[in-house]
Amino acid sequence: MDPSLDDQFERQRFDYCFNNIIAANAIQVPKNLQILSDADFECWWSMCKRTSGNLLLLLKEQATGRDFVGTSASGDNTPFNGIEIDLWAGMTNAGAAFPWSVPYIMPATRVYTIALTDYSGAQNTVQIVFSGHKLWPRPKIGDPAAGPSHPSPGTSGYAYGY
Amino acid sequence: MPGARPYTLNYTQVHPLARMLPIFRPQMQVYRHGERIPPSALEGHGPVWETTRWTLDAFATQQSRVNLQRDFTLISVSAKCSSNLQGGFRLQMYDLKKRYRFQDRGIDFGNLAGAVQIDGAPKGGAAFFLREPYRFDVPDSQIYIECQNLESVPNTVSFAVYGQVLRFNEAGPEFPGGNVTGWDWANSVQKIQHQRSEGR
Repeated sequence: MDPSLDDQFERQRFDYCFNNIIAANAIQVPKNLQILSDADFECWWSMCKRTSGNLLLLLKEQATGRDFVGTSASGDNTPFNGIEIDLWAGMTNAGAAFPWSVPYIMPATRVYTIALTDYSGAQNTVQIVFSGHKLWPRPKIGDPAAGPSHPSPGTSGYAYGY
Repeated sequence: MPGARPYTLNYTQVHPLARMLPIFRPQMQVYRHGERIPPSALEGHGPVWETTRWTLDAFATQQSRVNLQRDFTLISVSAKCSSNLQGGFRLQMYDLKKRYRFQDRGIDFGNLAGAVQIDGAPKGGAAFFLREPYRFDVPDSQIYIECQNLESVPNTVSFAVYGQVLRFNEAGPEFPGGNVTGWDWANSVQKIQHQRSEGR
């Protein structure tokens, strides 16, 4: 890797899965997803499998109040309940991934609220996956706090322990 | 030679992120793993999806105006409709502040995002990613969208733009006349400069 691009993080492939069952025509059913406390998460892809694509999504970051789905415009007079799930999580019949062109870092322990609205008229079983990397700070060589540079197997340095 | 240039470039838009990606090897350059800060001017930005939904009568047309957050940078568009027997719909998009249009006329659903199968019918559009992101860098930018139903039956059309916006608690390009967002401008800049100096 080009050293000028190295940000001193080791990346561990990781997926956060979110499951929910939305009753027929239920509106903005909220459920939380919390990032684990051990490491920040760098999100690269959003994926979804659902019973019906007639499903709307709102995503909110709780600590900052940030809304990821814009609510500023609607051609309808109907209340805004979010983005079509298939436009947010990739196309095709339940399964494609949508790339987040610029990866987004979700800090450890942060809570994200996902509110789903069904308009299919039937119960909708949903799994949403945030796919990306856990970020582990790489110990600098020569830093005594980081332990040995080349730990033997079983060494419990936190940077190697995942 | 005087008069040889058929037109001037004075009013030609210069893309602020035109060098975000090199011309060659784009795929390799876009998905370079291992970089916290991608090769762009989008540091401190976060993803956002601005979405609009219309329920159009047969052959009807509706407009919509999307207020954008600060420094919205358009990366991809995607669309979906409930009926796609005669082409679905056509849509034209404008940057209102710059008086810039993205198409010379309405572009059909199939070409806008590419109709693909959703739940057994070609009603969904694969996300179309711009080769180079388009930046709405003028304060209070808006996207104006005009959508026409091409079906002889009512059609529910959903359109979404995916992009990056400056976080509302980050320092950034401010409106003429000063701070209108309420955060402490001077301290925010110092904090970010400090973070950058430490490589965070």
